[in-house]
Amino acid sequence: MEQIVSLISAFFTEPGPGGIFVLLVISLAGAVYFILIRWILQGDESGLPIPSKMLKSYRQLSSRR
Amino acid sequence: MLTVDPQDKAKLINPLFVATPRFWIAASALSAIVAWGLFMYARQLILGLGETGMNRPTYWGVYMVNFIFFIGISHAGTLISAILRVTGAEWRRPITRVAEAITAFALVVGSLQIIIDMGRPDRLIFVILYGRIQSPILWDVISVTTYFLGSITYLYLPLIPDAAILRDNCPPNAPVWQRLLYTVLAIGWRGTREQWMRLEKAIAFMAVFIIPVAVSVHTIISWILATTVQPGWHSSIFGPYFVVGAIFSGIGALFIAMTAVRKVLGLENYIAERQYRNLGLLFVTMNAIWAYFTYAEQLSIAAGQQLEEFPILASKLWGEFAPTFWVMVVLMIVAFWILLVPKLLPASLESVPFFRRRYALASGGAAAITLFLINTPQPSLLNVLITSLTGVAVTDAAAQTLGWILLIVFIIGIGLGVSPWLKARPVTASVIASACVVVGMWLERWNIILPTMTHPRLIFESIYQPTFTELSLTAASLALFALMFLVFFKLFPAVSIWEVAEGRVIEEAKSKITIPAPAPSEEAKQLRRWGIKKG
Amino acid sequence: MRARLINKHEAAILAPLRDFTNADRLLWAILVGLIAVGGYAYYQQWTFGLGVTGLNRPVYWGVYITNFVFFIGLAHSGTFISAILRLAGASWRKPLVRAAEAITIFSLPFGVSSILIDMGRPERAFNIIFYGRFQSPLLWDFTAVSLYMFSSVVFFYLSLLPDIALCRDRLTEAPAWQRQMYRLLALGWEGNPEQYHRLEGVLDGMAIFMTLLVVTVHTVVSWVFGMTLQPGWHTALIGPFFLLGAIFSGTAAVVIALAVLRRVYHLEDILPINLFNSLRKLLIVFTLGWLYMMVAEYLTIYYGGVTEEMLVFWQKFTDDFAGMFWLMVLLVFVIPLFIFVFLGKDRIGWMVTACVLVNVGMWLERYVVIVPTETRPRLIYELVLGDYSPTWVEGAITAALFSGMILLYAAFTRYFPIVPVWETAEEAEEKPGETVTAPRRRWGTVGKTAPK
Repeated sequence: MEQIVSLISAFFTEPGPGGIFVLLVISLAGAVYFILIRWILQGDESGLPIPSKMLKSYRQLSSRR
Repeated sequence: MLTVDPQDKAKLINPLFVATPRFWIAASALSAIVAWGLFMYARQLILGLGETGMNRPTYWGVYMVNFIFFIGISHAGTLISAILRVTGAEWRRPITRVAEAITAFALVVGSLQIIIDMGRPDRLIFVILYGRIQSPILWDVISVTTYFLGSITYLYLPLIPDAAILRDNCPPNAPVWQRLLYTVLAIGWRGTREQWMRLEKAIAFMAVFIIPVAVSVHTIISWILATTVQPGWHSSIFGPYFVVGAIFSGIGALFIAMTAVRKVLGLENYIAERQYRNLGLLFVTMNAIWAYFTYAEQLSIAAGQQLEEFPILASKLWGEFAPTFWVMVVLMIVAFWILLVPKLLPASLESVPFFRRRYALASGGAAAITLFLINTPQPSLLNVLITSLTGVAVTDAAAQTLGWILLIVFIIGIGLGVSPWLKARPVTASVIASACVVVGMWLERWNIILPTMTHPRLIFESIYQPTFTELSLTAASLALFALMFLVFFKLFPAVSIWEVAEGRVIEEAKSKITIPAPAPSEEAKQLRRWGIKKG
Repeated sequence: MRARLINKHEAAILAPLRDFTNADRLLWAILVGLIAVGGYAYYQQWTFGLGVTGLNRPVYWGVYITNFVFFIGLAHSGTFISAILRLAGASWRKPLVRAAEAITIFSLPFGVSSILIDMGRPERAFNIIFYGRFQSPLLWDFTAVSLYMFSSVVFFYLSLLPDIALCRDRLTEAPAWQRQMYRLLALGWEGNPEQYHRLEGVLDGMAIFMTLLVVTVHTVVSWVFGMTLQPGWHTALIGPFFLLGAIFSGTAAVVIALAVLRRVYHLEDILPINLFNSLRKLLIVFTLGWLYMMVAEYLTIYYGGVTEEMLVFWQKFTDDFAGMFWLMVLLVFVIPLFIFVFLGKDRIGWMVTACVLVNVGMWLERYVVIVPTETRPRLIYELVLGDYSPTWVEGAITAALFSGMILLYAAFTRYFPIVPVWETAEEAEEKPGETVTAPRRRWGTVGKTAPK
């Protein structure tokens, strides 16, 4: 618990590796964009949330029992 | 003889000739409060300004807060009628009259506050006899007067056709004075084409003219404060900041007024969901812009850390003005949440157990308990609770931080829990948000004026405590505003009949336009010559 | 079946990509030459130190920082048009979005490099990452501008994606490396309805995010000045002031870019004159709004009469910088307002003139905000009366930066369509039995034979 409090107060008072902040923000943005672009490109004719090719294999897997 | 649609007649014209007991009760109650205010004012006039809490250096108190507050609310009319008219937003039609009425009456009551604030109101004439042109106070008198005259004109011009409609459609048993009133106000309006064209031109001109006047009014009022060197006031952001705040509080007042009118007169067909939705979007935008300006201003003072400036900020953040400051912040956040989050959440979310009212209540209870535990004296009960539950010894500071975090979590829980309930009731949500904003903006004016007045640059600090006289006169001012509103809408239709009719005609005409299919491109034409059909 | 989209202007929009004239080669040569001169100037500065510039103490921020703020401001044009107008539902903006966003993408790198150029020891830029303080506006500035640059590129790329696929499919006569580039960049875009639907959704979401970013970025840039105590800088209004100024100069830049593109690439049908009229109305509102803010700022300072502030005030109004200040007022307010209101309607020539004046004036304005305060700083003004004269090095580098931006922009227009083909396409009803002859495989659902 003290760690959290001291972490917050350190943010406002200490000098420190500001780069962590920058890198965190940019990496978070990068990850979000990568996931979004991949999601866009996965869309296909069926209009389903999961591309139909994945669905087909799902069905095949479940029908094999 | 001007005719009118029978539904309009039933809803908008007939109530004007019937004075229900409800009306008389409301009018009497408000008049009683106004009479009480007159009495207290007379008392203040005789006994002097010592009856108020004002002293030196706090020579501007509740009255000045009220002044800026009412003038701020008056910006409702300009925004809705003028700016929306200029940008061609059709949804403004049912609410323009309510907005313009708010403007006119708020300006009257606001200007009264100055007179109430003066110990010697007879000295008001000095502004004209001895006024310095370099003084922002003189500019203020000029701009508020101009704005007032402009608003009255802007209220009256669209009223002319309606007065003519009323003149021609009075029921047979209407009192003589009422018929005479409409005849006089209609100034012989016949509804000819030439008259309509001139009226439209005049209204369009007024709309464009009144926008810069309105912007200048609240800017100049802010410059009364900003051109001094008092800490907390001498900030160049005041001009735009006050204008944004004025428009913001104006929309809040408009929401409340139009809902009241809608409820009492049964105007659900006129003031419909479309008005609430679009006005709500404007409201949320203004909230965000206001928050941006507030943040920019306070951050400037925080970063500057100048000797006289910083105590002002400190008194607002954790000093004697902390309650009013933080209540204002919370109210604004609550208003923002109420209007935005229900729109963003899908309706299906109600099936999720967390988003239901009982969980909101549970979160509320937990929040209240946490707030209580945080504020107990050290060693706090919260600390004891955490230590006994988790077996880890924590410092008091750590326990406090944890307590605040838990409180915020619970409050978010309340917010999420009530969101579906709010989503289903947009009108109620708008009214709750508006009430929060109207109170919040009054507090915001308080937070601008009082901390600087009590911590001025050169003189000693002081404390300001509003007295019963000031509170009575504030209540009386609000009652006067409501009374003027009530009487006005007993005599004139709440919705501008001709503008709404015009809107209906325009909509019908638009729906009849068919857009032809696009012409084939050059390529297609060429190919077609060779017998190849292409799109 | 979803109605297919046809853009009847497709041929006209793709035409610039198909030829590369001698005029292009000449333009590029001139621009590369200017960049080379700038490069030489920077070499001088690298070898001999910042003494070759006019920078000194106390004027430690000069032309380079002016360029920084100016370029970042210019970048706000694109986001304003593509994001903010998208949220406001102004559909007339559609042909402009790519041209405007391209200004954003190509001005941001030069803004950022202005900072590096300004540093005598550029490798110390890493100190921000290793030793930066969280409380410092410089760190927020670094974060915000980096995030903005990154997000703008992603936003731009996403709205370009369907058109890259179009180029991949249509421009078969292009050289092999170019076709390979399209193939790689298109990421296998098929153009089916679901992909379009998702793309529109993500663009809507990013539009909101970019709007918030725009406000944050320019406010944070202004706070690098506003959070100091220097007279003339330490005002609370500086946030909104810089923001409105950025959107103002950016919109003016968009008008210039559009007019040039329209003339050079013969896009008169696609960029009709009512676009310019809509932009004209926006520009009038921005000019008046910005005038309002300037009046608010200087009136408050003048009436306050605080000693340190008045020194800077008179520096701008009557002393060393009076010429530049009043020239700025003329170029940003007086002449453009007159042109916009009386001469601008339906007249692109006058609009471009006014917008060029606005941008020159805005550059001067940034200079007038930054330098006079430094010549009369708060603490040492009694000891040192500062002075600043920029040298040829700073001028050459500034010219190189502008040339670089124009070069990148011109090159872009030769390889990618500058008007979004997919966004300006109209829906056409497909009648059964109608065959569409397709010489080659087309993008999207256009080209598939309708079932009989």
